[in-house]
Amino acid sequence: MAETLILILSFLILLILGVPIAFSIGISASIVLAMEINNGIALATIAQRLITGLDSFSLLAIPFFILAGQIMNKGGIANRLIDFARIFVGIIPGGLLYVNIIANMLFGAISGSAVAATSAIGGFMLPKMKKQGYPEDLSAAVNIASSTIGLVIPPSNILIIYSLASGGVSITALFVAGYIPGILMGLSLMIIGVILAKKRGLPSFKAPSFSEAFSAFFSAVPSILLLIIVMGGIIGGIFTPTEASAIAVVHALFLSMWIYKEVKIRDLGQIFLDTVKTTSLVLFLVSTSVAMSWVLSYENIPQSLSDSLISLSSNKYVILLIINLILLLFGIFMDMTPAVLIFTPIFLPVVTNLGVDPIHFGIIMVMNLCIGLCTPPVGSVLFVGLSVSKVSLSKVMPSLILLYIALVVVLLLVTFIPELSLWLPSFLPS
Amino acid sequence: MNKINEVIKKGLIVILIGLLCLLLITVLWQVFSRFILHSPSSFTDEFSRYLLIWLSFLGSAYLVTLQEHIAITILSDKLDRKHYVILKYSVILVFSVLVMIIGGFSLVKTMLEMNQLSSALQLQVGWVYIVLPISGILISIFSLNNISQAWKGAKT
Repeated sequence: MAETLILILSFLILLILGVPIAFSIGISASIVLAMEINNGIALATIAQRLITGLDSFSLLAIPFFILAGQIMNKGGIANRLIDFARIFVGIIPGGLLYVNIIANMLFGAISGSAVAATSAIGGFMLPKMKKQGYPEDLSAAVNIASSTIGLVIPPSNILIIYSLASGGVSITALFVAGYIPGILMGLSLMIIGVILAKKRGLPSFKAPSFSEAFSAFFSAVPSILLLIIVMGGIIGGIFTPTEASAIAVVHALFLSMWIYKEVKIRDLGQIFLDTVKTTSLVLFLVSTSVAMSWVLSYENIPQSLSDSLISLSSNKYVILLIINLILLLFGIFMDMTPAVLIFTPIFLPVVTNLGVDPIHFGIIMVMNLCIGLCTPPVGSVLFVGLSVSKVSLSKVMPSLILLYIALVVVLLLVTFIPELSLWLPSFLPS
Repeated sequence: MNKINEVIKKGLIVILIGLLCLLLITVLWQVFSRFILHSPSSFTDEFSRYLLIWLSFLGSAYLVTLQEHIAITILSDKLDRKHYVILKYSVILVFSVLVMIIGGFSLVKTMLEMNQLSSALQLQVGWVYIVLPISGILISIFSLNNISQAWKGAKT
């Protein structure tokens, strides 16, 4: 018990002092282990966990999905996706809100980054909406809340990390399971959008002419094809997710350099370097979080937490509800990657004992932590979204709260109706 | 100090971009050898995993010199910048020296003594793991530089 307390306290103190999250995790794990065993051995053990935590072929998909996303982003994909979405929903009153939501879902799925979606799609959409007389707080809130949906819609790096943390739940099944919950998240935000648009009398966009629609459609199709090639290859069992991610890079390079012609050879150095930065940011977090998770299990902390959870109730829905509350609370303060790596080994054994499918639980966890990305005080997506829109936090909050409620309702639906995540994967060949 | 820092940083950029390119080529070779040559390559799986380990640790050293590791800044925004930077990088310095350098070297030494070979490439695993102390040294140098820059910045 003393160890648990020291672990949590040292982590929180380091975090509040502004020590980078990855280092805070690594340091508090080292402190706790050094209290237990010989210091020299403790240091070498942590060192070993740091390295072995990254020794996984499926983690390799992460740098490639990031790279493909960076290339597509430089290749001007944001504008194409916006024009594409406009063909379908632009003429409904408040249409630009739905354009923003759909473009964010597609961009997030393709680029794998919620922060990139907020700034890239928001950067184009927010000025457009302002010009059309949309209230700034509403458009900023919609842009923020919708940009995390791409993390649930495959391919998704965070689901790869969950697969690692869970000890090998099929990435393919997790990917496929994300479609319906992701689309429901989008729909729920659109419903709030419709209500607010009606209340505030938002204008619709004029219908595009047939030729405009035609060219917008075919300009975006090659980008969307990336999702189809990657997911088709994975679902069909042709590629592993890692191989598919490398194919995605080739597709993105081909598209941006030869078809769209917006990326030049000389841009590649910067794109590669940016990819290295994002990759090592995530993977160093994975590395220290895996070390932390090992120390936790060495101290038997997951076991004692599981026991106290089970003692609260043996009803799986009650337990899932409690876990959701805990995750929502931690998601407010914690980044997604360490949260998945640290909490999965704690909660997964409890829920699988009660008969919850690990795929279902992965989707619940990721959806839940997505909400944390757009809440104060530390949500990265929230702050990027605010700086893109130049609207203050207090101004977006009223609209944002409505959108949080919508997302939480979907989270509860996905929690209590397992079929929403498990129906599609049931068609996969086993 | 700052000059050495800049030289290392430039070298590191070249190595990191090279590693990512090599990683991409390796995985594409795996796809190519399986589909076109119909003889799946045996070394690519292991080699690419080791490349990723090198990329991640050297990349996180690079992030230290850029000061771009993500942190929570609610309280530190209120601290003055000089003291915040000195505090933050002193903590990182302690971690990199103790865990990454000392812990890392003793791990490498053990691995080499045990003569542990990797399964496909028959490589000494110790040499793969040496990236940890190397990154530790880089992180220490970069942290010291960040500290000294912050120190000087406040003096002038």
